[in-house]
Amino acid sequence: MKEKLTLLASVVLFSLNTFTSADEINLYSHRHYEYDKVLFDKFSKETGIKVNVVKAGADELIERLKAEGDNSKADLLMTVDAGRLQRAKAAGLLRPVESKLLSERIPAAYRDSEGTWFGVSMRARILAYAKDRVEPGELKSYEDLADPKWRGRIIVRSSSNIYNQSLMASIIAEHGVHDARAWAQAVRKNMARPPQGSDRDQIRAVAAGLADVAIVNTYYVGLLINSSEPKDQTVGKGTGIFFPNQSDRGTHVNVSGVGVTKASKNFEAAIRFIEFLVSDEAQAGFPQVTHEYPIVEGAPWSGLLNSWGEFKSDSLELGILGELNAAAVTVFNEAGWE
Amino acid sequence: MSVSLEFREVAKCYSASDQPAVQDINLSLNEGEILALVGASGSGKTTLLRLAVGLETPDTGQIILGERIVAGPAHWVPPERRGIGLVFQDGALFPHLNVEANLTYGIYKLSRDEGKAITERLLEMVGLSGKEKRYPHELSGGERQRLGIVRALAPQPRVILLDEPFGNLDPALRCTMREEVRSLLVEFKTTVILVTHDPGDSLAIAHRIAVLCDGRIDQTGTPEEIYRNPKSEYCAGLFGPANCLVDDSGKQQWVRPDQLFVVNENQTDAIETRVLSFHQTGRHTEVAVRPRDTALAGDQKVWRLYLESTHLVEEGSSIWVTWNPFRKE
Amino acid sequence: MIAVLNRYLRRELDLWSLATVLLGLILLVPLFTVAIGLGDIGPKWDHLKSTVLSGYVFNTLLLVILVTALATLFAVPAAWVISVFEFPGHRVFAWVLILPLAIPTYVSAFVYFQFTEAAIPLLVNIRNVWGIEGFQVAEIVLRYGLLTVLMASVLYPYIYISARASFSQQRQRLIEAAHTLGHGLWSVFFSVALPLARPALVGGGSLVVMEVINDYGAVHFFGVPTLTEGIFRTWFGLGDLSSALRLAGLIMLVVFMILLLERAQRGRARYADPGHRSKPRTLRKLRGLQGAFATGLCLIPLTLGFLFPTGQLVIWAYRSWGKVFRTEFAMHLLNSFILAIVAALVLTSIALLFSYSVKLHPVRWLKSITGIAALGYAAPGAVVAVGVMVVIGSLDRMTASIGNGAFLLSGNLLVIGFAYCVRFLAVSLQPVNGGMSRICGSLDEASRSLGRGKLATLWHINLPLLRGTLVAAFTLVFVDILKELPLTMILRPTNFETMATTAFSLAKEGRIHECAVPSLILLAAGGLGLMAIDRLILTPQR
Repeated sequence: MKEKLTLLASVVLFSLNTFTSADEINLYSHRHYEYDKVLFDKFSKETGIKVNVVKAGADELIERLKAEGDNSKADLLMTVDAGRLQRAKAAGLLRPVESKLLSERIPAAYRDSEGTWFGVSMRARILAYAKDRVEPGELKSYEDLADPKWRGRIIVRSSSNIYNQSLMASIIAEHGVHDARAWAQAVRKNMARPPQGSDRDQIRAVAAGLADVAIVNTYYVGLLINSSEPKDQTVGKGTGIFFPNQSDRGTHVNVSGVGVTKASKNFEAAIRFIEFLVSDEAQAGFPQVTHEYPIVEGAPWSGLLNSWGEFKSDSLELGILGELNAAAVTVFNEAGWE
Repeated sequence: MSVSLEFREVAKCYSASDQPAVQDINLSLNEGEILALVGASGSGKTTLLRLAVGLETPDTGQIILGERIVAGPAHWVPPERRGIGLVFQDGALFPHLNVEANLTYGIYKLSRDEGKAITERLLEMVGLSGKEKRYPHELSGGERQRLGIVRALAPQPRVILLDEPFGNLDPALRCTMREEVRSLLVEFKTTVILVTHDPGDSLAIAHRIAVLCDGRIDQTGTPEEIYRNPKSEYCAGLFGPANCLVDDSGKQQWVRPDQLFVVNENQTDAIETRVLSFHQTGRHTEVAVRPRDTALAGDQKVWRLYLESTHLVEEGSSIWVTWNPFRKE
Repeated sequence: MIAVLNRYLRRELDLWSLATVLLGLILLVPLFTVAIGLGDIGPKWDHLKSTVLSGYVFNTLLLVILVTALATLFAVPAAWVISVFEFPGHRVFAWVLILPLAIPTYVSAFVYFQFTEAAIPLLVNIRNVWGIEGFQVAEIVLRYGLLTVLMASVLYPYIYISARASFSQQRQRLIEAAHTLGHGLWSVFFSVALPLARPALVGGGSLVVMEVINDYGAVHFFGVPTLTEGIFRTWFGLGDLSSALRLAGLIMLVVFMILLLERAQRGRARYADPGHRSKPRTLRKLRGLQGAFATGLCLIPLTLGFLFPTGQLVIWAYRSWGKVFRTEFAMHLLNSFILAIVAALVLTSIALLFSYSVKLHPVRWLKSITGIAALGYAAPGAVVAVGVMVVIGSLDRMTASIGNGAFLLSGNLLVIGFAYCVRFLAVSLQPVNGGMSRICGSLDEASRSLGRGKLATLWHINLPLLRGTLVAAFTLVFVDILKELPLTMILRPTNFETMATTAFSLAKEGRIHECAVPSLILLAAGGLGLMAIDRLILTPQR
């Protein structure tokens, strides 16, 4: 009787388990795009390697990787922010990769120097402004937003969001904690309303006249312009894009990136996956579909991206964004930016 | 004396069944009168009470309280405005209120002092003084019953209805409670309808008794009348054992055991019977006999009578009995 | 000494209590592992205290009070009016009012957030007329107001269900007695019906409180930083798990205090009147203006909590129908259902086991274990997920060598099932405990005296009598699991989607209109289940 029960239990456990064969890789990803699936399917068709995905928040995925340890079935971790990748690296979850192709195609600023993670697409955090209420000449830099002339005219989402935290990290890296805090306080005072909603909601609020300038990621404007909702299209078209800090360090940028996990059992396949993501084929898709910038220099931009023009980007080593994340949150807390 | 409460041609049918709960009810109570409603379960006693209080609406007929029509085809007065008190079978005390709060619930319109005075008086009457702050679950069964009664009395209603008020009490307590309640009711000069299973209750307390059978009033009369001259087996059976006597014309009469006497066989009107069985009841010996002429005893075929404990009988022996419609001196 | 112990053990400990204790402890382990980190004061605690802590506490308390109050206002009048009166539509309202429970709070938040956008022109006008101060006041009132309304309208069914059960089963006698003592409808409601329903209201209310505290999606959207948001921000953003746990502990303290306060206020009064069940009551008819008023009382919460969000979702779904349906969609649907059904079955069984064991041995330590094991409901989903992950991870490390990794649990569906059990035990335990307590103890004793053992008594006597309660427990858990998001997202195996995760992904991607389709399916499944509860429990008088 006991043997029968054990057998039954084993069968049940077995059947509910997920098994990965050599022709599969498991990806833990924070990205939620439909387009990703298209990419993965293309990869599978070309290489015959199936891509299995778990989508969740990057923080939670990192915790899961920590708990699973060496027994984790994950081969890759993909996030929408370099800071998280740096954190994963610091926690010892990622494995250094040596790939000539990756080193050649991805600029050094957008990958880890030790090869534990690689950016695959890029975005800038810019100032979206109401074309009818703001002259481009009025806008200068992030720091300028602290000026009292912007009282009641700025709108930004919550500081809980990783994009804001990374931006703050870059400001701390530039000015130090003390000045960064002062800046955060001033910007918060200048906000038209307390932080709420997503980046797209900020842009919509600008269009509706509640504020004049919003700090958002570039691709959101693209998504609005190309939305199937006529209302959103109007909003998108009425919004101008300004790349701040062109006269000094450049606009803050961040990457969507991926790293191979230490626990990965399909090392080779995982590397092939990353190499695919930076192939011409994949890189050409980002500007068109998700309105992100390609990571590979010289890869074609979309008409929209071209219309925004070239810009100088902050050359700050992206790994620092992760190291200063806790400091950024602390500054936000102290400045009262919810 | 003026008429305090009257039912005119009242009938009520519950939608669930097509059998009417009560029908052709014509009943009127004088001021200060205590009427007992007796009948088997399902005879409609509770329905009548609920109709009177206003918890049910009559299908036909009218209910008149004093000079007001409170229920009828064109009239309706809700329970809270009729001024009729109801004592529920199991007290229905509010568990979240203490004794004092329960008592004063119905007299909330009075001033604090007046309320307190009434409370003290009533509690003393039923021996609950000093227990004002207790909660119902902290009282004994008898105390709860008494509280239920004085709670209904507190607003001094003109009419009060009692639904099996002594239901949960043991016999000894029951007896004392009957006395107490009767004197309370008489003192307040309230008109009362008492619904009860227990024949002792109705005989002891009521001025008048109404017998309900299948929703109709079978018989009304004083306790004496109902006890001595029940019109049917049903009415008779409600108050204790009764013997069926069939006279020459075939008419049935109901005679109580204490109305049958053992006599000499030579006495006129003596009826020969044979002893079937007997047992002690404490006060006397109860003997079951069968008359020679079994037709005399109707369908029952058996008579019961009481003998002094000292009188000896034997099974199978013959005794002669006669009956006396009037009380034995 | 040993003999005494032996005798005690043999009397108190049997298979039932053993199983209960074992299961209870297993369910406690994940929370325990998380709580271990509670020991030392985290490095960021002082920073938290001096900056955001008071804000978190204030917002949490404010939201809890406002939402619970409004939910009570929605639920209680409607529940009473339906239990006591007959008015146009009352039969339909009786079960339809439960439907908002099927809507996840975050979905309703999407819908309601539209209002904040639509209100922007109005706010701009206010700013022009009344300046920044006026505008700020208006903005805060609007935001907190909308959030309160949206949460209250989705959560009031918890109170409504308890209140309605209480009002319907309340001894008709007491209400009648109150009437005969001269009190009219309003007076009877406030002086008798409402106080008597108090335990039920507290039960339902505490569920609302916990849901409000644990909400992460809606409060984040509307920019109201609560303790729960603080937990995640401190844990991930600041990297200080200990402080995050302290915040969680604070939450538990708040809940505990609220419950204690209520207990204390009750005093010696009793709120249950252990009389026999009353016959099906005759309802008083309401006509004309009064009837319309009663109908209105029911329509308002229903519209806010169900009709309006569903209507909006239907419109959105209609527009985006074609884009969403793919072959995998059916697979996701199946995943949702199978997972929810199996987990709900397991949880209901566990609740039955716990409840029966406690009835067999009403000793304090056994009751405490079952009570504490249900604490998972008070913890945020992600916290439970992490606790479970740590446990499973450790287990995996131990079994890794066996069978070449064949028994690794990570990524196994059983893990999610286990996490659901840890999190949702309270949802099944509460109704089953209530139902079990209503079974007269002498029935069990009679069965035992007639020679039937404990299992037979459970099967033949308790189970039939508990049928309705078990279905209610099953359905509540089923609906909760269907809606569940954070646990499922974090712990799932690869390529595993449910209706909830699909809806969330779509919303995250900004495809709000398309997320309406899985949301509606979620709603429909939950709604049907809730209808079943009503048919079986609330309507027939037992």
